[in-house]
Amino acid sequence: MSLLEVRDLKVSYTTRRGRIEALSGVSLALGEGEVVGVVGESGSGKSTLGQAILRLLPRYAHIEGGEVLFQGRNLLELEEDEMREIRGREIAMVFQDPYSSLNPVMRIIDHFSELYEEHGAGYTREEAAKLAGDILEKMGVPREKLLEYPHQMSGGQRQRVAIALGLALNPRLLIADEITTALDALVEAQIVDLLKEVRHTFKTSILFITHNMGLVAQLADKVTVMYAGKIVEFGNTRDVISSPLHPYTKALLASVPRIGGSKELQPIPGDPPDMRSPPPGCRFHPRCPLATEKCRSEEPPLKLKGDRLVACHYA
Amino acid sequence: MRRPKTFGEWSLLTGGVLTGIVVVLAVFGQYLAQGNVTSSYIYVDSRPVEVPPLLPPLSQVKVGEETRVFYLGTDQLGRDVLGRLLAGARFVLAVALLSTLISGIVGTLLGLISGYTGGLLDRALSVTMDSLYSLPGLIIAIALAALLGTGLWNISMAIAVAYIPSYFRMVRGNVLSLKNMPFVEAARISGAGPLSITVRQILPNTFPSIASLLPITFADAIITEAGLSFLGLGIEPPTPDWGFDLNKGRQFFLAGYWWIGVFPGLAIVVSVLGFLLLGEGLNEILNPKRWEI
Repeated sequence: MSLLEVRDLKVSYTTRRGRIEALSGVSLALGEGEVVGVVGESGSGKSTLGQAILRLLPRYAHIEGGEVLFQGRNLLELEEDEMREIRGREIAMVFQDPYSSLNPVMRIIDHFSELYEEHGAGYTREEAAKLAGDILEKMGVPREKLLEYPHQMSGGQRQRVAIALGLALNPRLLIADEITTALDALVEAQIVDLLKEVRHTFKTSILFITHNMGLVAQLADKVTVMYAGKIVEFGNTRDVISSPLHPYTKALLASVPRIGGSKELQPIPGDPPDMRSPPPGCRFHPRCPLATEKCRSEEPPLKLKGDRLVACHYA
Repeated sequence: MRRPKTFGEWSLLTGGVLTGIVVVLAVFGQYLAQGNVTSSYIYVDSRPVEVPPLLPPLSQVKVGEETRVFYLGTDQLGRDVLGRLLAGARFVLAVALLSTLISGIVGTLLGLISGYTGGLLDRALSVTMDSLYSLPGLIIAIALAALLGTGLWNISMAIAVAYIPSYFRMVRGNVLSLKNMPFVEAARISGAGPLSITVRQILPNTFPSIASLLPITFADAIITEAGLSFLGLGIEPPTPDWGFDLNKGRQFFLAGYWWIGVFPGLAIVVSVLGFLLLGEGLNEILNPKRWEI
């Protein structure tokens, strides 16, 4: 059984300018100890997916349908109290911006002791300090940093602290929402290495949300490509990257720079669609080089192709 | 000790000295002034001796063997102006402290609740607070003092209500911007409930702005208290009080008995100035955002 299974999840935002469909029927499975990458442009719904799993969507968002099964329980039907138990202990999340995801007036150790207290761990101060120090050291942050404030640390260190906080209660699933976007390339590589280590030492499953195909290639077992609130391709990372089936995945890969690559970078023409009125048929058709009349009128279903799922009429 | 360099250090030093003097005099005043504070008599060898009224400063009164000096003179009823000045400091400071604490705590709590929960409650509280804020503090305090009556607690409450909106508005504004910060969401993701988020994540982040408002409220409360007792809404006579004495002194001022009113007035000015300078200096020195680079 998969650890996490998202079935046909539909989420919409009600804004002043109308209703926006953020997720239109997304399904996803994540096995025990697996790392799944979620890739897509801005506005493709990948962050909404992460928030919807933890039920932390903003007030103006509505979950219109679908299920989020975590260890067989549908998270969307749980009481708020039960959900609070799950957050942090079973599913943890790390954010994009390490500069604002730690409370500026709390020392690092206070972040940890609060987390322990919140989940009734009942540690004494010394025990909490020891446990927090241990996990910080595993994340490559010296133990002494426990007594420092976030502003005394660098962005990379703060992100390490944030990951340590995420892992402090040994959750089954870690949702990493663009955690390297605010960091420079060198620190980004270190954090990715850290996550690789984490999956081996902690056996944590990771849902790795990013727009960077390169990171997914390094880290994820499987990859989900999202476009305009829908999944367009899902499969083993190696397969998807070596032989992409969906034109969008192809275009995405062609726009990633490669060292020693001779080909010119191919930008994807056009913009992501206006989600107040998504295009009929295949949502990618206005930007797709292969689009035909069928694509404009008929929505391609997500169908199995070998051991991969792809939503294209011509794949 | 090195000389203060910046404006902040100067105001801290001056404010600290002035406040220090006022506080020391308020606490130890009764041991310094031996004069009659509330009655027209001084007791010499447990015999009451009437003090002549309207004595100018530095007058000496000889009673038998003993000589008493009235450094700041006596008022229209023969009471020691210095003694009343020192005794009055206690009341003023107590009222200012109490009302600052009450308004700070109540305003902060309401601001936290209002900002965090939002919705109808937030609307209602904001409208109430804004309408309170639109009235001058002294007017609210007068109205409430008239309603509640005199006395330390009543006066403090009346003044406190006038300052609650300042704290409410500031804290609510802070909360509104803080509650969407990623670290708050991070706490929520790690399973924190609303109470823990407001108290442990948001509240400590509002302390810097609260701290910069406290001395201002304190100084303002001194003026408001003086204003109330000037109008006779403060404390029951004959308990010494600066505002009350200032008002009485005003009636005798043009007749040439200037010392009755001038000294309480000066005391008000000095203590308000002291607390404002202290607050400004602390703010300048403790708040990194105001450091000059």
